[in-house]
Amino acid sequence: MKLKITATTASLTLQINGEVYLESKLLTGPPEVNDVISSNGKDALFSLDPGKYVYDFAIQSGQGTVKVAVTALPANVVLTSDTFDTKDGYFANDLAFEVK
Amino acid sequence: MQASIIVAAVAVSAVAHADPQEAQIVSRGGFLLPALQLSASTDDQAKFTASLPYKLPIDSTLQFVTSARLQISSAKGVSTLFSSGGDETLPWEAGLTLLVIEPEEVDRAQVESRAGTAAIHAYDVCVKECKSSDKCDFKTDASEIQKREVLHKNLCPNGEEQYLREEAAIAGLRSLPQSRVSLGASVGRQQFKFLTGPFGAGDPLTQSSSIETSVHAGALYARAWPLTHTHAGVIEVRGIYTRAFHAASATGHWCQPEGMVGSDPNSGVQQCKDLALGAPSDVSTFTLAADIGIADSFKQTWRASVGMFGTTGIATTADSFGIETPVYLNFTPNSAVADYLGSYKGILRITPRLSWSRDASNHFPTTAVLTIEALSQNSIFSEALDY
Repeated sequence: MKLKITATTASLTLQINGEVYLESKLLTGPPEVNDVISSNGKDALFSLDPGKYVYDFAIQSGQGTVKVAVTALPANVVLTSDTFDTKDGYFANDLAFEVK
Repeated sequence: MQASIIVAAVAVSAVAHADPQEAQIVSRGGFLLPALQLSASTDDQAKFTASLPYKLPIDSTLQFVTSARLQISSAKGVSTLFSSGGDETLPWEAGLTLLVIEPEEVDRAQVESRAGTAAIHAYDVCVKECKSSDKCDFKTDASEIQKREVLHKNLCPNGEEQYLREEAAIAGLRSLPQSRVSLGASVGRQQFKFLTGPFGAGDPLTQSSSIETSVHAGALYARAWPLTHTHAGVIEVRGIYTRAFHAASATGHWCQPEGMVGSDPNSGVQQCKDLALGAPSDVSTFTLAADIGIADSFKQTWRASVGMFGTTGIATTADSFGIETPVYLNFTPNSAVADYLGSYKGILRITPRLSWSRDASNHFPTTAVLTIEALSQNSIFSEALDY
């Protein structure tokens, strides 16, 4: 299935940068998708087989909140979304989602 | 033979499948919030700049922003910026800038490994606190993945504090991009009124005016590097070519009778004028400046630098040099506005400058100028034409 990760934030420069892992391999790797980078107006596209995954990412180059969403294409169905804030730290942010 | 080719192809396919795929980056263009700058100096120089930035849809990890800008200026103080005399137009310039922003490059594997360990430690702090409580959301038998998933959401206060303390030990620029490159050019018109000679010969002088074309073209490079988890070192280097015109420094003063008040013959009224003696002169210069300083990289609330600048006249002896200590104070956090891709920061930039300029007798007298600027823009960094 083709998927899109988007970041919605007030900052021009803030971006999220990470990898998508199978949930069972989050701590052991390797990732399924590398260089999953998104910022306001810039999306990351990739394809995955059905399964449970985690998008493990860091927030970079900006501060504030960022809403991260995983969307299934071409139907544009949001599989999951959550809001992260740099006041809680910049690293080790995880967003779990399932591809059916 | 055919079988071995098929086996080899299957093997190659298996290896290719095992490699992680790389995500494709797709960019959309969009307008950023307009940027506004109001600048006032103690030497009566003032300027107002409005920029309309647009984020270019280029599929790259870099950010590309172009801005159309319009600037008006005055050498008679900030109060004259929007209320010049009826027969006088303020100097203006219009131009275009390009800004390229490079995010920080990090060793993802190392950073996430350390941050993940910190998350697990934070969860364990909460588990320890729970032991004295009957009802607890933190389980002693939670898996490492379950522990990480709690991060940033529902940690106990001590656990959160523990996490932030451990994360702070990981090097990184946090909120600041690694580098910025900006290029720009602008062209403008400036009207001059003056008296033409021959001076001192007793012949009548003539009122004249001219409209001159001014040019600015510049480049800027800024880079940040982590000092601690809350502070970063920043360096900024800029070069700018300026073609400008200066009015002649000597002025002529004259008065013409305009009648009298009432019927009193002793109440003659005169209208007096001052105009420069001679046409304006072309003062083209090139300026090179470099600042180094420290910025709050955790929240981008301030930046302070110290720097040097030098200006050389291209066809004149308009040489000068000096030092400056710009301080940026950011009073507003990021705030989103619908339909725009960026946000405003409300920044006050205070720049004391000491400079030494070559005068007619080849001396370098000292000049001290304080410039205060209100900046509504998305960064605590300058751009190429932010002169």
